[in-house]
Amino acid sequence: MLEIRGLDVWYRHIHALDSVDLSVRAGEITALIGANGAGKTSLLNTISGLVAPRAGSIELEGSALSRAPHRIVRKGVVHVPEGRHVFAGLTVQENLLMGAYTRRKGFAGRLQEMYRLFPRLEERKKQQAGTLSGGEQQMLAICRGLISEPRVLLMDEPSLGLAPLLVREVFELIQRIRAMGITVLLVEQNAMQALAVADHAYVLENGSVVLSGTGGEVLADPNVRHAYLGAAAD
Amino acid sequence: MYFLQQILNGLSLGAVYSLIAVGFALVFNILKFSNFSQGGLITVCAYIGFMITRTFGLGLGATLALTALAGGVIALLVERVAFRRLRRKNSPLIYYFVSSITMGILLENLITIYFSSNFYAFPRFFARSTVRFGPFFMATTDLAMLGISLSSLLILMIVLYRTTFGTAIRALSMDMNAARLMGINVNFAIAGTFFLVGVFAGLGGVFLGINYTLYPQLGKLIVKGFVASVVGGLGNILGAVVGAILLGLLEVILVGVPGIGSGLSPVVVFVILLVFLIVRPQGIAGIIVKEKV
Repeated sequence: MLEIRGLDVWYRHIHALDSVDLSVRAGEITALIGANGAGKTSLLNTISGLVAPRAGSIELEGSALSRAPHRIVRKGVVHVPEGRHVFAGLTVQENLLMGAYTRRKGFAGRLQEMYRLFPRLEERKKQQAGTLSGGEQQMLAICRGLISEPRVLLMDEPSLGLAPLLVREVFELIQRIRAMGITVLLVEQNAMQALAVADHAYVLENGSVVLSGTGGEVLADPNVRHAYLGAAAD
Repeated sequence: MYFLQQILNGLSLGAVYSLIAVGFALVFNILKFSNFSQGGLITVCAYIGFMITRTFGLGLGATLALTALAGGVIALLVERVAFRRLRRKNSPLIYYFVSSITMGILLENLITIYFSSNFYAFPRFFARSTVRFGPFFMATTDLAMLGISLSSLLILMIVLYRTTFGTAIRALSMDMNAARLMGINVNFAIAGTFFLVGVFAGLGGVFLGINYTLYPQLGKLIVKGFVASVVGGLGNILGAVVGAILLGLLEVILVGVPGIGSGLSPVVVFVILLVFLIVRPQGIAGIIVKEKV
């Protein structure tokens, strides 16, 4: 679905991504794990057009993906950013309207679907998004991404800063999103749970892919267990 | 009775200030700097309005409509020339500020070169110069100013709060990158905002030209709009309107206060601005609008 080849990203003198190759298969959850500063968010930001790569290619179903964020969204590649970034001063419903900015036809129907998925959002539809709790904001951010019916959803740390119960809910939701037929590229600090739901996984270190495989393979790797899962290497 | 009459006058003055203040607020809202190029824009618009009436002999309504359109187009050019490159290069805000002042001076001097520094006056638009409401009188142009300003502000509010494009502009003002991720074409939305700013500069320019006669430094009156938008809370549109109306009322009332008069009234206004900046730098917006930008 998404083919990334030799992606190189620099922030002035910092080499954020070093010839990264990565493929995201249709209908799967692909997890991307790695320490802080490994380049996970940079990769998502490059795919969604917020950051321009110095070299490399990103292809969606065999054709080069545009570099302009609004065109990328129109192609069905939607990015749910780290830290939610809901529009604090807009109401819940206005936030969802912004999510559907590129696909306004049928908005009312999809809005009802989202409200069925998260009745809490319907209860608060007239409330400003800034007044929601962290968990509610995360759900809103995800719904705002889903409401344009994306083909690929890029999710950056959806479980960050949430209570354990909500973390579980988020991971259940990610599996439901896959069941809807949406391809997911998931960036997570929470490596254990991300690998448990992922079909494929990549480990990023200092801007390079150091390991890839199925979720289970990566989960079984002793280095991964030691570095990210807190298990003693045995 | 005298007092009520003054309130009427103050309202119509405040309505014109609010056209300027709203222009400030719109740009501050999305790009977070005070756009002083608006003064030059207003001057240019005032002269364009003047040329339109003199050349074609049009009435007030048609003059305003054409000038507003011209203002919108010039504002698009200003955004293109002065600000778009800065945005592409992620320049610091001070560059925008400098660029906006430069642009303002440039526009003002283009007018000086073309028209020299002579004074011009708009023709009279109305056969009857005053309208009477019971015991009160109002200049017909003041009444037109009040009505047209308030209705155009109302339309702006409807655009911003009831349309998807307006909501996108508000979303952009809160989080530009998140707006990009929604598929909002940020360049297009910013250009659209500048067009709106130009429309308001067009209306404001014609009204200021009618009120004060035309001269190349007419645009310095944007200071009033700036004061109003600071008092209202920078970047807050409703706050800017309220601030502008208060400012208009205050000026008119101060002129009538013995010991202050028209000479000292600007002094009092600026003292109030300073007090506001010290005591309540976020402006009055916090009280009347919950929205945090």
